[in-house]
This record gives sequence, structure tokens and C-alpha cells, in this order.
Amino acid sequence: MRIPAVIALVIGAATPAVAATDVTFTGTVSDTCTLAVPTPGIMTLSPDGTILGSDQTLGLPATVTVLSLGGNTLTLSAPTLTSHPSGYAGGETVQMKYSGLASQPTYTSTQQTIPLGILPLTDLIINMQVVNANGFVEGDYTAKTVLTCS
Amino acid sequence: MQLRTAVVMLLLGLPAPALAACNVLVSTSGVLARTGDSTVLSSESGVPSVIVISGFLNPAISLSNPRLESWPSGFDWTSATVEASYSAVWTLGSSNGGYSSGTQSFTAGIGLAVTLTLNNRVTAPGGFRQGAYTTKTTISCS
Repeated sequence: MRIPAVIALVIGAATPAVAATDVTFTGTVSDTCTLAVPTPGIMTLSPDGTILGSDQTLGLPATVTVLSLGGNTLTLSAPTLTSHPSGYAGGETVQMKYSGLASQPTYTSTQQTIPLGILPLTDLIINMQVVNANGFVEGDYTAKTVLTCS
Repeated sequence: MQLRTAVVMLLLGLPAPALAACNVLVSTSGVLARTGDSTVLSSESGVPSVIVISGFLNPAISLSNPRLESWPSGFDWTSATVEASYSAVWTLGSSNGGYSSGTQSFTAGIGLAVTLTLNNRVTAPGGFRQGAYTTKTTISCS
């Protein structure tokens, strides 16, 4: 009868142990930003012949529709002249401005960064101009900015 | 007399063991997925975690506050809220806890095992940046 009592005493004196484990949850978020339905712009010559711009008479701005489902950043690269007629001497400045989901009311030549939150389908309207005090030779010119949403 | 001596020697020879009232036998990782509301990442849209805990004598089970362990650079983690909810069943009972960002605990009844289903969710009013997110909850029992 004494032996069970001793056993019970020992068991009662034992300290309870704590068991623990970490439980991990992982998730990957992708495709939270969409650039859709880009329409190209059209640049026309200014009356004095030194500006080829989408906001000149008969010009047309470019439009991009943006959808953002998260904390994204929309980047517009610095605008560049990507093609011109042979014989064009260069020396131009390429500039852009935009309105719609964000606003840059004055022309700029530098890369632009626009923070986006949750945004329904919204248009970004981009105007582009090429300025050259020496004027332009006849032919086709193409300027572009690259939009990246990430 | 010989039996009594043997038992005493046996008891003396054994260090006082920590009595394992419970053990975490199995745990599976959960998966977070976006919900229809793009401000919430939840395992209810993905896969919950299932934890099996052994315990005979009313094990006390606690869930730590859930933490956001990793996120993509640029994500505003300070505005994010991480919450956990659970559902536990054992032989003769059950316990449920709604979403909370704090610690939660319950005491299970007598039984062989407790099966705990754990959900985590992250709420970010500004939405989520693209990339990988990890949350962690510590389950302990005694």
C-alpha cells in the first residue's frame, strides 16, 4: 500500500511540460496591376515648326487604362525619340505630361513614378512633344515612354 | 521486501521527468489567398492549417498572436492587421474562437487528441503588393 503512495507522490511532483510549434501560412500575390487598351497618340507640327506635339492642332494624346488591386507603382520612363527620318540632325528635347489617374500638368523629360492603391479601371492620358529649335525635316517621327506597373 | 527495495531504487534512479501532458503530433502549413475583397489575404480562401495535439488530461492550449513574418519590399506592413481564428474538436467537446489579433486559449476536455483547424488572415486597407507573404502563429499546450 505504501508503494503506490510513493509512485503517486512522484507523479504528482513532476512538472507539466509545455509543447509548442510554429504554424506557418504562406501566400503569393500576383497580377495586381493591369495596363489595358493602350491607344497611341498622334503628334503634329506647331505653327512655328519647332514643336512636334500631341497637344498641337489635330494632335491626339495617348491613353492607357490602368487597373490596380493593390499597392502598386506605375512608372513612366523618360520619353525618347525612337525613330526619325534620315537627314534629321537631332538636337531635340522629348517631353511628356499626363492627366487622369494622376496629374503632371507641365511638360517634363524625366521618369515619373505614380503610387497606386486600389484603383478601378481609370484612364491615364499622356501628351508627348518633341522640341527642336532647328525644326524638323519631312518624314515620320516616333516618340515613346514605357509604362511599367509593379 | 525485495520488491519494495526494487521499486524504491527504480524511483530513485529515474530523474523526475517532465510530465508531457500534451504533444503537438502533426501540423500542416496553411496557404493564404486573395479574397474577393482585394484588401484581404486569407487562408479561408486558401488552405487552413490543421494541428493534432495529443492530451489526456484537459490540456490547456494557447494560440499566440499571429504575426506577419515576411512581405514584399515596399509593402506598408504597418497598416496591415493579422488575425487568427480556430476551431477545435476532441472526443466529447469542441471550442471555437473568432478572428482576433491577440492571443487565444482554451482548455480541452479529457480525450485522446484535439484536432485544431487554424485560419490566418491579413487585412491591408491599401491592398497588397505583388510578392510572397508569410504569417506565423505559435501553438502551445501544457
